[in-house]
Amino acid sequence: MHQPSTDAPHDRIQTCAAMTATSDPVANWASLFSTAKCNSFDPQTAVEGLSLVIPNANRAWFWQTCLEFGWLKPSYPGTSIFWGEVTLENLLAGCQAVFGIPNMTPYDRPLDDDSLRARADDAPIADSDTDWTNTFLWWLQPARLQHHVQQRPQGFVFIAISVIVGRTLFVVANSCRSIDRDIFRPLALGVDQLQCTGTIERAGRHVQRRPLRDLDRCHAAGPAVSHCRSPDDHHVLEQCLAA
Amino acid sequence: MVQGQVPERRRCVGGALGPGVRQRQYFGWFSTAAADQPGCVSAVQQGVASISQMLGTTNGTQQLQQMFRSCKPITSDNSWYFKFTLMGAVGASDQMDNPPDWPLNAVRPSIDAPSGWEEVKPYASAKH
Repeated sequence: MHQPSTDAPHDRIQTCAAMTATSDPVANWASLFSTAKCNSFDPQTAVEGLSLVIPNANRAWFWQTCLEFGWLKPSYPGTSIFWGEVTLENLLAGCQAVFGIPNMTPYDRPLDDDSLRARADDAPIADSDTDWTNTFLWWLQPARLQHHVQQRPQGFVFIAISVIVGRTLFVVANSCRSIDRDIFRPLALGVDQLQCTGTIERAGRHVQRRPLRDLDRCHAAGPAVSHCRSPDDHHVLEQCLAA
Repeated sequence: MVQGQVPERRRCVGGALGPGVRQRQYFGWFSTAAADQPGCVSAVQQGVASISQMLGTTNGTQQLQQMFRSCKPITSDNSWYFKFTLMGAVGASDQMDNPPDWPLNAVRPSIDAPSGWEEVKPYASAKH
């Protein structure tokens, strides 16, 4: 779950000055939240705010946190001087609620390059509703489901070159995480598989293969196809995919 | 500072620019990063203990609602998020622009410089 911004001082020195200002540690902590009329400590309110698809930097950041960076912040007993009851599952529930991502799987252990490549290459990504987050090497995070890609917030850049060999569309892109198969649709007719090499991920070494089935389903919806291009309109997208 | 700790600290202080610690250790790093601020870590520990105790009673919880200006009642359903927010306000401060390295200041010239701007300009102007 995204943490709301507060009026707290931002750097360590200011924060520590506030936390040690008086002999009452609770009052000191509360002083970090003292200027707002009221503070929302309600996760549902956070979900509602993050669900707004107006230009929303928090939503864009949360998307990247959930699905690209894995930059969630759980806290387990004994791992810090703070409370230890913020589980990754709690936080992933926010990702699921805000973006409609089902069955996210926390993958909270280190991965080396080889195991990541193997997982990206071999996992039947579009055959499963499973996604991953919190990889140690977050910049190597494997692909997402196509319909997740189509929900992504605005503002991403996509640069790619591509060639079709047989029934496979080979792509070299700045990031395989940013692939929008709508872009490739004119090229992808009759293509069964997309193989992407993301230059950002690993200087051309990180290869992902994805079936194109979900996109085919989307475009089979006919007139609704234009709506499928709306990355943030989840309901339209669902109708489109369900068609 | 012990030699060899600096790179670790820099990686963490860089925050989102270069996270290098396991996610489960995100909040754990604060006690190391804030050790140079006298009394800070113990003040946080005392605060955690006191707030936990207060959350265990109705009166204490109401008191916290007032002190922290909570818009809604703090309940057993959302108390984890209350704590999470409090932790974030304090525990994330070690990844901001902090001395001695001032990592954000150090990074900014590479973005502001004309050559750097050419690299990031397409990202800034991209419209989907």
